[in-house]
Parts: sequence; structure tokens; C-alpha cells
Amino acid sequence: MDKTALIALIFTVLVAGWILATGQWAYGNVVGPLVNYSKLPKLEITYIQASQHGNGTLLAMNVTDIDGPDAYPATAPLLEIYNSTWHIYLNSSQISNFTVKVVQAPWNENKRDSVNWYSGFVIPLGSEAQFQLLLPLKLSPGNYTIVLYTPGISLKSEAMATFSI
Amino acid sequence: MEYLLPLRFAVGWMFLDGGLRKAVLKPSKLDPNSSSFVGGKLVNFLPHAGPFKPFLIMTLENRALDVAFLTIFSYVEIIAGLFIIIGLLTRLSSLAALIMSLGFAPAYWLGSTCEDEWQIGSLLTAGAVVLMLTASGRVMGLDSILYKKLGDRALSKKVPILNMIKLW
Repeated sequence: MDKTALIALIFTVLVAGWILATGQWAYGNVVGPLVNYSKLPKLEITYIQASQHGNGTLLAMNVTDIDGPDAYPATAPLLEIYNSTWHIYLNSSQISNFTVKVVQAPWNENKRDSVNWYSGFVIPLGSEAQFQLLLPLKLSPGNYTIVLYTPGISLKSEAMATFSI
Repeated sequence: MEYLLPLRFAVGWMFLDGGLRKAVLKPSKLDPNSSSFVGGKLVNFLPHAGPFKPFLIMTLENRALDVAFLTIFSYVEIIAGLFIIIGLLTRLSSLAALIMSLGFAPAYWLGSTCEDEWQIGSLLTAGAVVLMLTASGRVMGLDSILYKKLGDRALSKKVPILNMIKLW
């Protein structure tokens, strides 16, 4: 085999290896399972803490968007808190009104997390922030579950976490 | 070799266009105080960046490094892209294009309608390798003049790996 053919073969193996390996890594398109992480948004609550605060409840939770498109942020215009006997829904304006502070992750740069009246929580892909909400209700001591509802995704993919107070 | 001209234009233009968009046509993309600052886009790569995640976070948390990295990257895109199109220092420029194509890997998982970034990165990787191996600028490119005058030249004659990297 001449030198040119050998070099061509070596680089073909390298390029093919790179394409197949990265294709499997990013999309599972060689041996499966097929995935596309940038199709649908998926919020995740990475930390949560709640405490009684006067006549209200201070809720601090870190939220990040781990899947979905990069062109526009994920949103959660509905929040639910419940336990076995009680539940409450907060709509986007309530989420916005009750949020007293948003602490950005140091890597957020100009992709900043926020709240607004029509979208509730607004979280660009990959960014993370701690949202501090002062709820105008005093939660009794016990265990609670919180769910952030993102439109258009299945219930099992909604961001969910539990906390105690 | 003449048939490689369309590939030279395609690969070269992808980089030239990418660099021009950031550095010339919309300079606010490289302005860290602008909402258009493209450095913030690295945040989007984070969730599935795999082994590249620590590097991305380090870059994002160090604004000066982020700006310097993106500015240098953009100008290398312009120079390498332009040189590939006109066939000047084509092998070295294609090596730069190859490194940049591989550098897109943290974004390969992004593609909400199809496998966009991975397909772009893969094709540019293969294209850059072909242009680098074939010394495509020696035909219908300025490298033909350099090659006639100076013959084959490597980045270094003495250093083992660098002597394998040809300039044109």
C-alpha cells in the first residue's frame, strides 16, 4: 500500500470514528436509544428550602433548564404546592408578584433568569438561578411537593421537588 | 484537484461568514456589555456538554477570558475562512478549520428540528481534513505561486510533529 492510500485510510478511520462517536453521544444515532435533548424544555429544581417568615412563607429554589431549544427560554407559568390534604396553584402573575429576589448563577452572563406576569419563571437553556418567593400564606409544618408546569411537555417531565417546613 | 474548489468555497465561507457576523457585521456580538454578546451563548451548551463542561463554566465565569477567546476565535474564523477560499496557506488554514470544527463538539447536541450542530460540525470536520490532506490551494489558488517558488514547506523543519504540518 502506498503512503497516500495509508494516510487516506488513517484519516478516514479518524473522521468516521469522530462522526460516529459524537453522533452516538449527542443523539444515540448509531446504536440507540435515539434522543434529542434540544427538542423539549425540561426544568429541574436543583435545590429547595422553605421557612416561615412572619405571616408568610419564604421559598428559595434553584431552577435550571437542562433540555430544550437554545433559541428561546423555557417558562413555567404555573406552580403547584401540595401535600396529601391540601394544594395551591400560583399563576404567572402571582409567581411574578411573589418573587422578591432572583440570584443569578455566576455563569449566566447575559442569559439571565427572570420572572414576568405572562410567563412566570423564564429560564434560558443551561442557566440557573435561585428564585426567592415570599408567599402570602403560612404553610403548616410538614412535607410538601412543588411542581413547576412548563407548557407542552408531559406531566412526568415537569420539574418536581419535595421540601419540609 | 480542480473539483475541490466548491468544497474550498463551502468550508471557507462557513467560517468567514461566522467570523464576519461576530466581528464586523454586528460587533455588539463581541461586546460583553451588550445583550447580543455571543459569549452568553456558551451557557446553552452546558447541560449536555459532557467533558467540555468544566472548560465552559471556567470560560463563562471569567469574563475577560470569554471575551478574549471569542474575539480570537472570530478573527481566526475570518482569516482561515478567507485563506481557504482564495487558496492561501490552505493546509495550515484547513488545520485551523479542523480544530474549530472539533471545538464545536460541546454544541453538537443542539438541534431542535434535526441534528443541526452535529451535522454542521461533522461535515466541516471532514471537509477540513480533505482540504488539508489534498493541498487544494495549489490548484486554482494562491498556494500555486508559493509552491512553484518555494516548494513544500512545513510549519517547522526540526520539531517532529510540526514538520508534518504543511503550510500549503
